[in-house]
Amino acid sequence: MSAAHTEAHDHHHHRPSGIMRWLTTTNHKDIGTMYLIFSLTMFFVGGVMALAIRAELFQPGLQVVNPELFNSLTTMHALIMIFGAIMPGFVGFANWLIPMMIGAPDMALPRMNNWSFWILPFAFAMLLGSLFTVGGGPASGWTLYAPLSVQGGVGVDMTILSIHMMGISSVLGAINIIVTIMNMRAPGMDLMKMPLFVWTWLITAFLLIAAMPVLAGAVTMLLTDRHFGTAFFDPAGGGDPVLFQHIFWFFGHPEVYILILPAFGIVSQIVPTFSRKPLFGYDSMVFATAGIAFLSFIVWAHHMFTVGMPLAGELFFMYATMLIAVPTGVKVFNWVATMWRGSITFETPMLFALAVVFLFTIGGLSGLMLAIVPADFQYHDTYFVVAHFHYVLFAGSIMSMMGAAYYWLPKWTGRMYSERLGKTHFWLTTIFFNLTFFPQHFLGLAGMPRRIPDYALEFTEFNVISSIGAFGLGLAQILFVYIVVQAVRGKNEKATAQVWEGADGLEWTVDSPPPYHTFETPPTVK
Amino acid sequence: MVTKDRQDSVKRLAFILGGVALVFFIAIMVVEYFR
Repeated sequence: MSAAHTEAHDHHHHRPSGIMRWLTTTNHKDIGTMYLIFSLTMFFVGGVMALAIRAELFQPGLQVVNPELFNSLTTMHALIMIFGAIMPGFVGFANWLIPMMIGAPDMALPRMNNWSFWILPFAFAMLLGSLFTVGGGPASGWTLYAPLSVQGGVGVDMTILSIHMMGISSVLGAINIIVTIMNMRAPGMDLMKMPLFVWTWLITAFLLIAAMPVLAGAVTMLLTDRHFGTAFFDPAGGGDPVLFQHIFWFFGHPEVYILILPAFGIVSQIVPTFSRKPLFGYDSMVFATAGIAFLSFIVWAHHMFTVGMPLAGELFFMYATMLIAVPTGVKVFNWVATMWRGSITFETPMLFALAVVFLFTIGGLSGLMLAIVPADFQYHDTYFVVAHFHYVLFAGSIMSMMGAAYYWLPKWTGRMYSERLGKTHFWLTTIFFNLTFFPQHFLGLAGMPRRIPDYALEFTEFNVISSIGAFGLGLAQILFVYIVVQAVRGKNEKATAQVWEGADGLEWTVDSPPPYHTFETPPTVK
Repeated sequence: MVTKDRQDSVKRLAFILGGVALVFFIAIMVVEYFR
């Protein structure tokens, strides 16, 4: 025991320096940092693609890219933002925060943690590399619908392999998070005492384990259809393209909640702090999260109402989808009730959290509109859908992560960020976000299809507004990088251990920045 | 220090979860192959 302890102790304090530190690290803070930097990098790569798309759509007529590349760009933008920016971003927060929030010294499986991260740069190098192959990158949309994806060049195969790698990374990460939460909590940290961010991530991790293998199965069948003579999805050999859609969305809908539940957790941390009140309805928040997770597995066919299915099926998926509004409404109610008669201040993290509550609710309501079968026949595959999911994924997931970055940055770096610049970044982001995506509702209602490089003249005005908004939104994010770099370089005032007056939780009991190893002796939670 | 018991339960849970993921991956393809 003592020899092992000494060895472990030495190992802790002689970490390699330079690049080897980052390649070989098993420290949850280092790995969390790498995930967050990776996520931000992918956010800009996917963002540049979005700007190319918006430049093309600035006005009708060919301008910037040819139609084949345009299709690749829409596909890649989605894959990169979903698998490269949002998911690794949340895993970065999970790595940094879950051990500190539950009083654990590190993640339960630190070497696997290192592997989970280092798979990702290779996966995305492969995905981006597909753009430079003969035939170009995947151009079927991120949903990779067969039979279009059965055609296509070697770029599709590279995409399939990269999706397998991302899936392995996600499943390993999810296993690590579940095992950490189930086994490494400090004495007294009962499940129903855990911070909401930990709860939402625990449930998200179960969704990942159930959903990612289904995607892996779908793309493997796609691969065998392409190269090994099977006909799962190819009608030419007796296969069924609609089968692919069912399997894809059986993964895809839980995936949507994988992308939003950690955001709910973040909002549930930030709102109580700046309202200076405990979270209202903690238990109902946990049950609502679990309820949303369960429902996410029985609503998938609402993505494909127009393929033609029995009326009973349409009714089931319509009502089940509408049911999700109940637990989601519980959450929004609880956030508002937390603020009710609170002593609220509006620092940058709170502004972002409030924007998430407002704008995600708009996205949720347009989701309800899409759930109505006869209405969906009109909205399906139009810009209304694009507007809907950007309200959910940008205003929900991405803006929650920005709020979280401002909230925990002083804890991580030991320095405050510039509040004035943070608020400027918030307002630029919020205004330009709405300028970009609100007009897309009208475009969709007027009948503009999504994933097209050109459009009828009648859609011009709203597209001009949307493109101007997109470039403003993109440029505003450079300010975000500047603010983060400023805090990391230690230019601003020092942060206290608690950082925020109303902050509550174990991560606020350690120094800012926290030592390399925290809670080697577990704290006792009352 | 993490105790031996704790290490065992970490490993056990990790293998169970990994096994579940692997079963889902294989099952979806087997089911569709014989559909």
